[in-house]
Amino acid sequence: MKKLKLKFVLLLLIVILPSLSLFAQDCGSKWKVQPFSGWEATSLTKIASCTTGKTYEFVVPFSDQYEYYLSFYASSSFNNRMNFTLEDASNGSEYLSVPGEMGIMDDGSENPKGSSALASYYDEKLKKDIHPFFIISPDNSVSLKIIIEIPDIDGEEGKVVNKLTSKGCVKVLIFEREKPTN
Amino acid sequence: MKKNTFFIITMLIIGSLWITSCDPKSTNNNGEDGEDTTKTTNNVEESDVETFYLVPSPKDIFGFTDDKSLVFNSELINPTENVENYIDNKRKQLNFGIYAADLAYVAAYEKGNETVKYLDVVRNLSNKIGIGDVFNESLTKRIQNLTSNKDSLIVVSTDTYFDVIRYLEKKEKISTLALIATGGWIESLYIVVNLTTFEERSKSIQAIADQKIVFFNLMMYLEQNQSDPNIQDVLEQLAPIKSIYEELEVVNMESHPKTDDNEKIVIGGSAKISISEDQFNKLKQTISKIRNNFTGNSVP
Repeated sequence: MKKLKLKFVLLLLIVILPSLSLFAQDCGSKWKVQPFSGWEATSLTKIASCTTGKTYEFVVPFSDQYEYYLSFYASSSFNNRMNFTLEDASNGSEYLSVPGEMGIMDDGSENPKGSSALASYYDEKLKKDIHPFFIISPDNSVSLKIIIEIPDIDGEEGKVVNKLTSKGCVKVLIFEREKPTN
Repeated sequence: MKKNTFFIITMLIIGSLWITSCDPKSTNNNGEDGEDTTKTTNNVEESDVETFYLVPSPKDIFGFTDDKSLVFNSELINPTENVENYIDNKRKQLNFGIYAADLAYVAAYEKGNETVKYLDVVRNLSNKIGIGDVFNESLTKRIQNLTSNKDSLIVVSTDTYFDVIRYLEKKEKISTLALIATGGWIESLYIVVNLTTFEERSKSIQAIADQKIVFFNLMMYLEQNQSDPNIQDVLEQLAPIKSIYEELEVVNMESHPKTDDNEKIVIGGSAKISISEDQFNKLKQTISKIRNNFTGNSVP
């Protein structure tokens, strides 16, 4: 009887521990990027756990006293199939709208600077690949909305009840620096 | 007996699988290190849009302390001795944010001894609210080696705040994070409004008016978590500030982006917020009352 109880406790541990470890995994430790020279880290940087077929909005207060370095990272499970939009939260005016990846352009260049949010571009001056970034300089303090749309994965035809979903992490990286004085 | 054991274990397996695959709030069930899983799931009803409201750190709110009219005033910060008075969790968490803002303030003014004192109180309070793990060996060593160099004081105090935020997000302690952000915001603004004399079109006054944007982000963040009674209570306490900020005149402007020579996206803000002397005084009085209620200090 005692042996049976011991076996039962051991089996319980085997069952419960893996599920607890699943809960302990997270997006928090991904894409650690140190601020570059002249830029400072902010608490506005956010990593979120995301799923295909959903839209994620990040409402960010930007002060007119700073310039902001904005960059995005996403798990490979999304294959860069995402859309990034930056708009004024108060009236919906659009400032930026780019896909995760643009691919090869008509002139043969691949994901030229400013065309995509996730795919690196080759910088001729620096002679190396650069992860895309955007520098935002607000004239007035403003509430900006960063909208990240992750489309559905195309599932098998005819399957209405079940759909294929993919999960992963998305990081909105925001550095800041004081505006240069004129 | 064996049949019963088998039944219980089978139910536990099914139960644990159900929990890890169906919790829409869980950010943890996405494979190793939160990465890359693809699976077929039931088409359950979930909101298709998830919104995050982001709140800047106290250091950013003090971003304009270079203004020469703003001086250091030790009477404005919450005395470290008060830490022993905070018994319930809500006050501990709010005052953690308050002390974090005080830490950013003393560090910004290069007060070496006070910075160490406030880092100690933040560390002390972090143990009481269950986030003591943030102060690992590396951070503790950095604090111990602090010099009176302005940059290192600011860098260490800011890094401490970011480490706390990252830790709370990782552990999904959303209510704690919301209360800490509230404490940090109220203390930062309390210090700034009490250091500032009203002068139309001054940089500091405009920055105080602009805090309307941050405040409404904070309110939305709190409202997302108002099922927590502590947050509901704080929302009610913050209502008078909301009324004042709602009264501030907003001058709408045409917003359009332009790219300058350095390839910056220059955003013409859509609205300029203005604040009158009366509104400023009302805001100052209300902020002071709420802040002193949080800290347990008497209204000056």
